[in-house]
This record gives sequence, structure tokens and C-alpha cells, in this order.
Amino acid sequence: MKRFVFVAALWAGLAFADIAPVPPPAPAPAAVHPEGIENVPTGVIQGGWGYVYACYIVAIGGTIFYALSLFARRPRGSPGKSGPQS
Amino acid sequence: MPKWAPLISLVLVIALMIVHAASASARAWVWKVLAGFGAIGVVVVVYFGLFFAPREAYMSDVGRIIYVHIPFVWMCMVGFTVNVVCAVGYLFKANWKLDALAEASAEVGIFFGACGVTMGSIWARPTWGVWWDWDPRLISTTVMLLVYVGYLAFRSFTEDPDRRAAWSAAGVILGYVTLPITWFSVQWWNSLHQRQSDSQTVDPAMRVGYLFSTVAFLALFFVFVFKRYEISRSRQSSALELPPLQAPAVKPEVSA
Amino acid sequence: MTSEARNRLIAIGAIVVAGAALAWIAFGSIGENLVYYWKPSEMLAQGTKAYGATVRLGGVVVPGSVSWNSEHTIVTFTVADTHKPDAAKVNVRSEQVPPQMFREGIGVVVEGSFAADQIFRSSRLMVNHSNEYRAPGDGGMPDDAWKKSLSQADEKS
Repeated sequence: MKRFVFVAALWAGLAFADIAPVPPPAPAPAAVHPEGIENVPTGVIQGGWGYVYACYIVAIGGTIFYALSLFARRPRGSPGKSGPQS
Repeated sequence: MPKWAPLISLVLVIALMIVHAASASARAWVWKVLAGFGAIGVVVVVYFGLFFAPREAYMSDVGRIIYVHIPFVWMCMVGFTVNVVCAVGYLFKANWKLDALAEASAEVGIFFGACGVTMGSIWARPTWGVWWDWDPRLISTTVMLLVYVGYLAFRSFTEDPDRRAAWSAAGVILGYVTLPITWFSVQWWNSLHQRQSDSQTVDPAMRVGYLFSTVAFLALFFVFVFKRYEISRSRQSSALELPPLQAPAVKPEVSA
Repeated sequence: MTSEARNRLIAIGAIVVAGAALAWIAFGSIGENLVYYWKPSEMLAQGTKAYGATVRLGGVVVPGSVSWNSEHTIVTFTVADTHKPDAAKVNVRSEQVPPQMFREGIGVVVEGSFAADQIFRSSRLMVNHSNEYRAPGDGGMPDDAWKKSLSQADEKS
């Protein structure tokens, strides 16, 4: 258990090592056609956080659900119970 | 996130897997360490993906889905690849452990694949404009997942362990063909799904995110396969009256 | 025959069959029969056979060709094989409000039918995103993306 906590903490430290305050995202550039045609639609998605949250919920919820299903199916009982040894 | 974070964590995770495989005494704790890795890694991925990562130039915030979609479909493919290696291994050298590992990796692969496809469908709505369309990539992915669902169904319907192991292995070797087809579908045919990204097409600040996420989910993948493997082994030991899992390894005789 | 020898035979047989199937799909002509969308040049090459059938047409939106009729929510634009000026082109008329990513130069797949008046009437418009992921404002985004999608489209054709 100690080893586990140590390695986990080390790893977490590495991952967070250079997480700094988030700079405000730059506004999307107005798309300019290389040949110089003006008034090109920007074609940038507005909003859409609902889709992002839905995906992260699927990812994390799915992972938790599958972990629970494995836990529910875990092998039970003492080793000797499973029949005669060959 | 530092550029080397994915590589360092990948080396750590693989080292732990090797320790697990090599040392029977380490098996009691290595999976717990990897589960901890995975859990903390997922928290990091959520923070990185939702708050820290830059927006995509055109997809804006919707591009943040990349950090969960790619790792899931990759883990699906890793699972099916482990499965086919075990299937071939079982047919050449009948070993019930390989049979159990094949079953475990297929189920975990289906789990990751189903979640990955669900996320892909959600992502498609704002970007492509539709939830689903039968393009070559989506067809081949669906067929691939159905093949593996069929594989598990066949296994659950077949009573005789020897027949089940041999014929499911033979079937899944044929079924594995769907994986390279899925992978190359975007290159072989016109498709709605884009081709594989590479370091040239992805901003380094984003690439590091999904590579790290892949390592975090790889750790969880390993834990899932191991725990599912234990379930398969315990079912085998009750069905085959094999020696229990913890006993010294005695290679079971395979009856004709 | 022992069961182990039988299993090995099964394995070799399965691997051979699987490998042959994969090779057949990868190198055979199945790709010609498995068409998700036609490019403008491919559709035009069909001549009158292309008229009337419900098909998918894929390509890039020609810059400067998009026009909106907001009253009738109709968007018309031209789809070309590639960004090259001499690429084959087809005029498209779509009744569907395009996805937000729709812009000039992006890849699209439209579902509908082509008619003798040389207009492709589309009921379904999908945006074909490239494999590019860039942070905004990291220098030359539009230009780079243009070149990339250009070379990708060329490569595919």
C-alpha cells in the first residue's frame, strides 16, 4: 500500500508539473482565403459544451460502470471450494 | 502538460505490467498501483481536456472530445489484438490461461469500443451535422464490434470448454480481419470520418493531451483485463475442476 | 489426430483464410464496388446514368461559390474534386441549414440527386472534417489548413 501511494503521488506530481493558470483563449481567426477573397464564412462552431460534457460523462460513467460490473462479478469463496484438485 | 509526460507515464505503466507478468508475488499489488495511476490520470485528463487545453480553431470547444474519443477506440483495438494473440496462442499450445485472457481482453475491448463509438457519434453531431452515417469507417467499426459480441455470445452458449476454446479462437482469428479493415478504411475508401491524425496535423499542445490520456486509459485497460481474467479463471476452475488460481501452476491436461 | 494437432491445423487454416480475406479486400477490386460518395469528376463521368438516383457527392466547397437565400433557407454552392482551379465541379442546391463548421474550402458530403439541369439537389449536407487539429491563432492556420486539405485531396484522387 505504501508503495502504491508513493508511486501514485509521484505520478500525479509529474502530470501536474507545469499546469499553470489558463490563459484566455484567443478569439478564432477570421478565415481568410489565400487568394484574397473576402467575406469567407468563419465556419467556427459556437458553443457545443453539451456535446463535450456528454462525451466526458460517457467516458467516466462508462469506466465506473464497467469497474462496478467487474466488482459485482468478482470470484468469491475459498479456493478449496471449487472442486477436487487434479 | 509537459511534452514528456505521456512517454514517462507510458514507460512506468509498461514497467509495472512487466513486473506483474514476471513476478507472481507482485500480482497482488501491481494492479492496485495501476488502478491508482488510471484514476488520477483520468482526473488529470478531465482537467486538461475541459479547462487547460486550447480550443480547436474551427471546432472550438467541441474539439475537446478528442481527449476521450481517441484513447477509447485505441484501447478497443489493443483489446482485440491481445485477444487474437491469445487465440492463436491457445490453438498452438492449449493453455487455459490463454483462453481466459482471450475472453477477458475481448470483453474489455468491447467495453472501450462501445463507449468510443458512442462518443464518436456525439462528436459527429456538431461537426459533421449528423449523429451517424454509414460511411466505411462507421460500417467497419460496427461490424468489428458485432463480431466480438458474437464471439462472447458463442462462448456463453457453448458448454464444452474444450470445444468453446478451440472454435471461438478459430472464429475470432477470422473476425480479427475486421480490425485492419477498420483501421485502414479511412485510407482505402472515401469516407466521412477523417484519416488518422499524426504529429504533422495536430497541434503539439493537443497531441500531448490525448497521448497522456491514452496512457491513463491503458493503465485502466490493464486493470480491467486482469480483473476480468480472474473472473474467467475462476469460472474455468469450477467448470474444469482445475486447480484454483493461487495454487502452484500445474498445466492442465486438455482432453480430446 | 490429437486435439492439439487438430487445434494447430484449425489455427493455420484460420490464419490463412483471414489473411486471404484481408488481402482480397486490401488489394482486390472491392473498393470500386464499395463507394460511399462520388467525387464530382466520378459523378460527371457517369453521364446520364447519374441523373435521378439518390447518391452522395463529396468534395470541397469552392471558395466564393456559396450563396444564401435566407428566406427559403436554401444554400447554393459549388463542390469541386480538389482546390485546383481546373478540378471538376458540380453546382449544389441544399435545403438543409448547413452545420456550423460549413465554410468555403471545407470538405462536404451531400446526399441527394443530380439532374439533367446539372444541379445537384441535396436534402442532407454533412461536413467532412480533415484530420487537422490546431489551436486558434498559432500562426497561419487558414493558410496551412488550405494547403493540407489541398494535398490530401490530391493524394486521395
